[in-house]
Amino acid sequence: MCSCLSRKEEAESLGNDSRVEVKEMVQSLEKPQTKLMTGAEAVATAAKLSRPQVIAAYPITPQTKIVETLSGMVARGEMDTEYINVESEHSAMGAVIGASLAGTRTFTATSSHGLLYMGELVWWAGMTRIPVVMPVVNRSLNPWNIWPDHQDAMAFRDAGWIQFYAKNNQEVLDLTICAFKIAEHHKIWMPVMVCLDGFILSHTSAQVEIPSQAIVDAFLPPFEPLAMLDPDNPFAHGSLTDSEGIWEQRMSLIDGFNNARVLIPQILKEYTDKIGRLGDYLIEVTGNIEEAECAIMALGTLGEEAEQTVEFLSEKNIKTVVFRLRVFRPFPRKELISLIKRVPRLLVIDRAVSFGNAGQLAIEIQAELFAHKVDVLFYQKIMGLGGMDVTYADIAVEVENILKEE
Amino acid sequence: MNVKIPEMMDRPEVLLRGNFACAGCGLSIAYKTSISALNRPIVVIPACCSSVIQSLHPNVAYNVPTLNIAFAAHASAASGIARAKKMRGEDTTTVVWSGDGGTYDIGLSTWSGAAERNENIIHFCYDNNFYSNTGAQRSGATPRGAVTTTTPRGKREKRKSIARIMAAHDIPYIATASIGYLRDLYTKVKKASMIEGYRFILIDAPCPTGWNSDPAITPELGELSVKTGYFPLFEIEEGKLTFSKRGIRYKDPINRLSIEKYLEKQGRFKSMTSEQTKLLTDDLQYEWDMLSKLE
Repeated sequence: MCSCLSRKEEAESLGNDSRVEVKEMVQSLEKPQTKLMTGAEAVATAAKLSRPQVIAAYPITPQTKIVETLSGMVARGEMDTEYINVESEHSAMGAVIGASLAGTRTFTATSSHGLLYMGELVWWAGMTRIPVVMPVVNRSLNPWNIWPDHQDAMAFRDAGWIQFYAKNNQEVLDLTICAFKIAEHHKIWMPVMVCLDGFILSHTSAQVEIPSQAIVDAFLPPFEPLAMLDPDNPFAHGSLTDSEGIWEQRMSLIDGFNNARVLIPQILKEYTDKIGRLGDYLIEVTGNIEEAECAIMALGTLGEEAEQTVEFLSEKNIKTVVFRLRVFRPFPRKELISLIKRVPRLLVIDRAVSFGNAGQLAIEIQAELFAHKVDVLFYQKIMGLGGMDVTYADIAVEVENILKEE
Repeated sequence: MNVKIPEMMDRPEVLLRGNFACAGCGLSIAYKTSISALNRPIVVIPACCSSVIQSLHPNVAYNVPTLNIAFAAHASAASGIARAKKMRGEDTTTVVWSGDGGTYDIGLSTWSGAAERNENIIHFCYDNNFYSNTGAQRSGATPRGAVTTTTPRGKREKRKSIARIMAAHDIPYIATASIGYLRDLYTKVKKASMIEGYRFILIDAPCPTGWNSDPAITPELGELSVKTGYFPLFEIEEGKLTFSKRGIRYKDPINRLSIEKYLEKQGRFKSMTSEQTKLLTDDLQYEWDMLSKLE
């Protein structure tokens, strides 16, 4: 018997019941698939599903696997994308700014020194509102060290970019797809950084559910430029602007962030309704807030590690709760205050420092506590710089010390 | 290729009235001539005088779509535009319009990358030999002996040969032109526009404000730079250099006007010693000799 029967012929040869099975099999291709993949692969998969038309990127550890995976996809014809192998990160951002203003959906990714070298144009994209999506694989700065901390992304918290911090590979994939819809929303129209911790996520495999292309297409329509470089309608972008013009532009950027504050949860909800999992919250709460003696706040994988701390301490009869900020810009102050008001103590863990002051997250939360006259015992701790390992037990020790000190 | 004068008279107005250019501005002449020769141009302008003369937002004196971008990002931004327009299937010409600061110095790495990738871009460098936008500081294009605000006693080093650096990238088309010979410039731009890939046109563009010269003689200075052998006119195609009809006779030093005729009309060379003039003359001959090897 010929071994090259089509599925249909094979099904018919096996009778009616099998035919139903085959039909289901064919349909299952339209359903989500679950794969074991690294954070870098999750970024590349999300980018592919989002159909960027121009990608420009320069490799840097630990982002490398993202650009390698994407250039492979483009070379194999799996993506209809112009891939520009630029000679630096500065040029990567330059190219996506040009490509975005020429009317295409754009994507790049970087890390650490790459982000710093790109810096001038990261600000250019922020201030002139270029809706590019850029995962940043968080990595420490000099002297040479490839391990994770948040110093790189934190250096750009003021640059006019929306910033997400993901806790696992699934969230990396989901947030990257959402990032395009958020960046390109005409009432937001600004660049988005999706931060993921180097190695802990980028190089560690975990189970990731991948939505079908059809369902992502239904969620994310094709790129619709707000303004485009077009010989039929000439205009100058980024030209010399006086003080009043800059003032007007900056106020409009502030408005854009206020819009984003409202629209991000709506877009996350739409994603969750159409695709699943993600949830529409800006701050993830893990643990019983009503019973908690202390709340722990952290970004990215430190936030996920703290979730283990909650479980670990509950066995010792210490009640804690984690508030993990998923979005750092716009700063979700309303949600934050309503949560902090419900706990007696707050421990904020930063994986970066504003040298000469304190951790960025701690500084910003303290400002909100003061502005809203929130009565909470406030503690801060800097952990995990330069990739120093931080376990749930390390975080538990910090909480226990706080409770002991009193 | 021969462009007829009536064709040049009939070109679109790309630089509108009310722009901020100084009297006798050389780059304005270069811009009008070059950009008007192109089909549906989109122009990328890094930090330079051209980012200032377009007027203040929301007014704009350029009648073509223009992207202003950071100093060292012209060719990268243009690469993005060229690829995006290709992806969208739109027929446009992507242009880098940069001064010598952006091309010789701070933006060298971005254009070198784009040239190596052979991006479909025409890169113009209007060369006024210094950083004019910030008020006359030295650049890699400043000739030996010229006074700038950062070389108050005259520059001690020779001028960089950007055309030869560009030629080492083996791009499909390189040309030099002067605003003293507009038909030659226009023809070269037309020719470049019919070629695909990374093309480079270096334009000698006098700056009366920074050179301390009479604004009325800007075109004359453009002619003198060619006739004295200061600025050789040539094209490089497929690695082969051809001196242009307009300038080939100045390959022979005997046919050149004395360099003093060029220097004496510019305040920036006023304090040149005879020794400096001799060194400058040697620099110029060295460049002619090096270029001749590419013939």
